[in-house]
Amino acid sequence: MVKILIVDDEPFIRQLLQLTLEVLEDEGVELFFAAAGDEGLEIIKKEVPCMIFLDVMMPKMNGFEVCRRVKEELGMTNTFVVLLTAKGQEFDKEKGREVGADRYMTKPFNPDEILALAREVAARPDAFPDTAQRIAHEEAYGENYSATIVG
Amino acid sequence: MAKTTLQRLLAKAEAAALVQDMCRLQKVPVCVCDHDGTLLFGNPAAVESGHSAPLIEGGRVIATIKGENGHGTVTALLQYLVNGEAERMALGRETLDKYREVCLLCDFGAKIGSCLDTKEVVRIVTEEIRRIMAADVIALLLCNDAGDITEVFADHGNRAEHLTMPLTPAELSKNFLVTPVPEIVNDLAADYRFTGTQGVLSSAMSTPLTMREKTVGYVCVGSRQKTEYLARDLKLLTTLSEQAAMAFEKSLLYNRLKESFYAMVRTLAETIEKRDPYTGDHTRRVVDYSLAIAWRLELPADQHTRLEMAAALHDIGKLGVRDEVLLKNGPLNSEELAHMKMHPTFGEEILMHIKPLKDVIPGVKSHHERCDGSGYPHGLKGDKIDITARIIAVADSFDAMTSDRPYRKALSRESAFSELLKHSGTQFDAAVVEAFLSAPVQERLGIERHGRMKCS
Repeated sequence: MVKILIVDDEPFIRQLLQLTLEVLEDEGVELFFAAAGDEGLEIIKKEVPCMIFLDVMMPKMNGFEVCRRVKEELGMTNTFVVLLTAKGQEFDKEKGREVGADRYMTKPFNPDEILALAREVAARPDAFPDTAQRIAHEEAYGENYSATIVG
Repeated sequence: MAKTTLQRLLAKAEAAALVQDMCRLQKVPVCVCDHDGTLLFGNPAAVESGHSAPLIEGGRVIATIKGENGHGTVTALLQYLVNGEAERMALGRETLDKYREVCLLCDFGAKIGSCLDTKEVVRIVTEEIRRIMAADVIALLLCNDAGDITEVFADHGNRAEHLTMPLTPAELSKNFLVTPVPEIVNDLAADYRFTGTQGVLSSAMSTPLTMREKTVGYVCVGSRQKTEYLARDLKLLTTLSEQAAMAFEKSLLYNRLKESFYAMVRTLAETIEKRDPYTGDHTRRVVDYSLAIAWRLELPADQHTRLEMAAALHDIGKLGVRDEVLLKNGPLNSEELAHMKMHPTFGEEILMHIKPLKDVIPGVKSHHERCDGSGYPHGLKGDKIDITARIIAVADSFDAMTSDRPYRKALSRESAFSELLKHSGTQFDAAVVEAFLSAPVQERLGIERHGRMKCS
């Protein structure tokens, strides 16, 4: 199972991302949601998602901290982390690089870009915990991943 | 393959459990098969009688539920759940669409906000409209202060055209839709305002560009084939247009500002000509020679304006030189010479009050410096002398040599060239001399004019 986690304290953003990525559920992807950093980390440890969308501005534990823990403490360097931030905070890009984020997107995000990126990451061979799962996934959903991958 | 609403619904554990519970409560086993016969829920073996009912979504039967007598409640529950899910998904799609628009407008605002060039604004607007709507023709029509359309930028998909002749109302209505208020006309042929003119477009939208209650132009989006433009398309168009109008206004003001600035530099340069006509013609030639040198030296384009202005103003300091000295007919004595040699410094003192001319001052102040450090006013050497000053020095000297003076006749061009060569490396920058000597003859005579900024 390819797993994608969304962590954002705003219910509206979680809804939007769900609506955007919902179609992937038909393609063998499982979506998870968390409203805070610590909740997110619990899910990460349990489900080991291959992709995480992290809101930067969250109370108590912000997105940078979650990312750092994922990449450094948990050692999940293969997990694709996307940091979501409000416009006008582009200076955070440097901080994002420091904590090992893979992509930086500003809100309002383009839903089509998000979907294309998720598809791209989900199509990677290392998106699955093990080879057997990947093969099973490809057999079931193979034709979807020869489709367009928007850079 | 995309799942149907029902499949998606029954795949959710809570929904399936709910239906199970209901079946148990009603003591009625059911089974649900979708439109191609696939079993979605339940066990067909457990269902004996043939009572069946349809499940409907969007007016179509998407599945059949089979069950014992009394399965009505379960059917009703499932139908209710399907309706709810369908509604949620429709709302979700709409929300995403709106969000896409928000994202687009945000990006557009950022792009157009930093734009100062009219043509660039047109390009960005056209690109954005083309990205979000179906259109054969996207036209931006700009008005002058009187409100007449004087400029049209039309993008036909495969080609762009820019018309600056005033078009007659008939020509306009033939090719574009221009309305005083935002409007959609999906059937131009049927609209009484346009019948009689065999138009190019079948359907179109139009909105005025207004800035501070004045109409500065119009945007027209049209199709050759009949299309259904919707209210939300018009809303998007007007929102984009509002931002475009602001950008046009900004670029207009910026260009007017630039124009008045150049006019001021021209005026300044004119003052010295009125004092001393020799200097006026001399200045014009020095500007020509300097620009010719700049082209040969491949000076970066952004330096050309700076050079041109410095060359136009290089002798402005002569305003501070006494008439008896400035307009004297004979050679100057030592005291008079010392006074005359103040003119580069006077030039700096005059210009230093104008902040935008800060970069022009080095060319004015140092055009009498010499590469070997024997020049004035500061005895600067080599690279320490600003490039504009080194260029003007050559141009200035050449023109002085080849002009008649009260106390000596003009040298021939050839003699002047050899004088330049003789002092190349000492008085003059060697590279600048070489550039000047290799420039085509016409340029040196100032006949050829390269892209002047019109400040001289």
